[in-house]
Amino acid sequence: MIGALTPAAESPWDLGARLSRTPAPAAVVIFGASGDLTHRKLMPALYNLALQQLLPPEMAIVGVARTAWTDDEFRDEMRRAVDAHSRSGRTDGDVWHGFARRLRYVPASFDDPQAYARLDALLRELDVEMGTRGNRLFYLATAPEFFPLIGERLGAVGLSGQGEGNFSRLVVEKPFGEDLASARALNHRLEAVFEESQVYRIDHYLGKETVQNLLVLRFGNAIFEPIWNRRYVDHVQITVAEDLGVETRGGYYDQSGALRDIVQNHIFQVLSIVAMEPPARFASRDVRDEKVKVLRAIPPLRAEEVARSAVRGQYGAGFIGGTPVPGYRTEQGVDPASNTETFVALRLFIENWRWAGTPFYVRTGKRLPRRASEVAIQFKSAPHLPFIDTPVEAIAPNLLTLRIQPDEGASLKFVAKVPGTRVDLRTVSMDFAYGSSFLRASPEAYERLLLDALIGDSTLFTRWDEVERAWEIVDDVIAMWAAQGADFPNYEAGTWGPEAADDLIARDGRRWRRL
Amino acid sequence: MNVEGSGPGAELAQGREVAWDGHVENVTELARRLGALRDRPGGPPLPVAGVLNLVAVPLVGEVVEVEGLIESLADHQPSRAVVVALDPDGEGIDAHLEARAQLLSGSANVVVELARITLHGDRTRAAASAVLPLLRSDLPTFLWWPRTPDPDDPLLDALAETADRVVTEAGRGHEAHRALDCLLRTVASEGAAITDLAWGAITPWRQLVTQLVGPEHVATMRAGGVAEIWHAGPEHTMEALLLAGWLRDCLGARLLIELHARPDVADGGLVEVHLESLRGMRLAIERIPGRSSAAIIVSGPGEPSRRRVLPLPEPTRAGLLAGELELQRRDRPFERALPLAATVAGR
Repeated sequence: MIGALTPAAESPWDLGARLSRTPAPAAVVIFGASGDLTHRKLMPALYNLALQQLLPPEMAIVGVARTAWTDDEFRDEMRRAVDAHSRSGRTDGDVWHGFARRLRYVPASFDDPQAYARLDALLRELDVEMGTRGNRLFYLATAPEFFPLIGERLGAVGLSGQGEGNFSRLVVEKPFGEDLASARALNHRLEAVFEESQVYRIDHYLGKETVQNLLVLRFGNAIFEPIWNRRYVDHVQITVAEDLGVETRGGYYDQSGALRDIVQNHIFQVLSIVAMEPPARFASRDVRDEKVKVLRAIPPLRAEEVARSAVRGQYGAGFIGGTPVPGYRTEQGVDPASNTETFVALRLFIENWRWAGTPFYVRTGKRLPRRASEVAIQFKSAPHLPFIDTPVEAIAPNLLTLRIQPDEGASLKFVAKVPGTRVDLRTVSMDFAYGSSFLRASPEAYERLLLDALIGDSTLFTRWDEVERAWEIVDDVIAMWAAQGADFPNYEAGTWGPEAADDLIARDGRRWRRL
Repeated sequence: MNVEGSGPGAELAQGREVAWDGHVENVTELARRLGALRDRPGGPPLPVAGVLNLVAVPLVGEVVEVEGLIESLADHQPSRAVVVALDPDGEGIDAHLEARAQLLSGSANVVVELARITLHGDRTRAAASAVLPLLRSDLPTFLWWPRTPDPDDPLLDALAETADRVVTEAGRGHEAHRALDCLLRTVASEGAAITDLAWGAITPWRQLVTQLVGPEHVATMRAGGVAEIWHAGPEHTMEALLLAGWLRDCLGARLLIELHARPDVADGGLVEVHLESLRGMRLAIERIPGRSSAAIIVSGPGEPSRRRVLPLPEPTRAGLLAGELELQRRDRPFERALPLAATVAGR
């Protein structure tokens, strides 16, 4: 009937090159609607989707939080949030008017069973009033301790059920557990209510344009695949460096640390994309099957290897950009005797035919000299240089760098002749910068991911077996570090981490890239 | 900003536009001079950020407007642009070269290199050969033909040979039926992928229709239904005809299509679209004047009518052109809609 919207896969229209896929009618329910994530990311993303004609006409957005707002107060608050944080600037009056009428609010405590009955009644009402057709997308933008509770309460009132013609999906923010055991416990409670295919575990790194471009660069170009293996690649470095400290997240971060906050999710996701085999199709199951195979091929870091292959650090006071900054232990919300790591470096191996013997060095840290996320593929040196007086060692080997942020792009270093009468060689760089080639702004990661969740495309979400395996890899490290004391702080803010991190890679005769 | 040495490249790097004007006998000299605008003695030339070549052939009197529009695209699509003007009087080639840079990724990059060449006298017959040396190799080349294409025009034919994609504005300056006929013949005769800005202009309308009409209703519309399209102005517009052609393509030959003029609306474009199936389901999309939104009214037998307001972006000419420059493949729905639009128009 008119007013019904169809998923792209079922669209009777030939969308061609110009028309965009749009999701089926649905109600999006955001738990934690008064929180920072909703203000900064979720609501601006939903508004921008509406602005681009990418949301279904039949749609409702329901906020759930403890704050005692009315519908109108919620709308006003969300408009302020969109005005402040949307990439498209301040709201357009007409578009906002049409968008705001979709917004509803349920003031509730997440553990109150009556609240879920009220929510259920409201959603049924919206099915009639807004034509949302029984489709629901629940977004858990709350503190992680509420994830299982909310899931179970939704199940108790039947909101996790889906039939032939309607869906119920659950989007879960990170962290998904704090170690292997807690992640399994969380998943066990969620899977009692929602099937795996209904759960969308979000890792916003996968929504970043440049991370998706890793897939395109690898599998859309024929020149890289033949050399993307142990025969030609000497090693790989993955860096996620931040110059910021913990800012207002001290309380959360002190319970988490860099290993849980960045390595177990973002870095392992990027690593699995860098190292995966080509999927047959760019479809959810194919891509995620290949990613999890990579993670399965990484042997967990056992206790006896931690000293050799894992380094942790915590920043002390120092300087960032010429400005003094405090040490981690004096940050707001942080235990003054905290042993939480703010820096991690790991040496990993992927034991499969493609990568056996090729080390993957990963590092992440806070209060490093600059913000930079990148993947660097260091190729092996040329076996022989037929140029007189130019030893192989004098020439830097080829390096392919894929920059995730900032200055998104890629560059390839290769050797060229210095102009002149002699044969002098020097490394030069061939650059591709997103900012130079495509001047248009990339969509926010949350726009892409929300749209995919509504459409039912889980390609860019992490499947449980990926999450579980990622925890398995680092679980011993977590346990050991928790059991042992630490000589912290062990690096100054504004440096590239503790000396032990340099030693970790230097033992293999290599060194970290200078970013 | 990294500024080395002096010269035009250094001026560019400081955000100043640099230009050169002169008269030449051969375009090869212009290609050299265009490169020289980026020179910085004592340092490397300022790097170029470019993703495409854009060749434009404006009508006499529209050169300034076209150049301004191309420059406005630098925020979106960095390009090497060649604007071709023809003057049957005089001799040789007058040229105006300019370059503009932006700070990208921490360093200055040239984002627009514009060459306007005015071909005089018998040089007007050699436009294609004058354009070719000015194009950057290995970049996709777009030909913007901001008027109705004449399939018998040797200049269009020659320039289309060099282009991967041709963007026309067939609806400008001619009544739509005749323009549609010319466009149809041009698409049939040229090898390059061809599109028209009027087709881009109806994309937001098509997006709404695909969002609002589900598969069951598409099936009933294919069995027989009515589409009514109201357009601004007294005469049928290219937008209205193309939308009609697209609906006919998607919903089949049994769909009855009626076009209605709204002479009281002067700002061009579509005003309203109504779809009604034989089962009495009705959809109305009505543009809200002066706003980037439309009122949507949906009703059916035994159902209350529902009204809501949804975004309906109002495209600008620059925005439409920018959109076309992002596409590098053939637009099959357009190519199918075009002959069907002609049948609706009675041609």
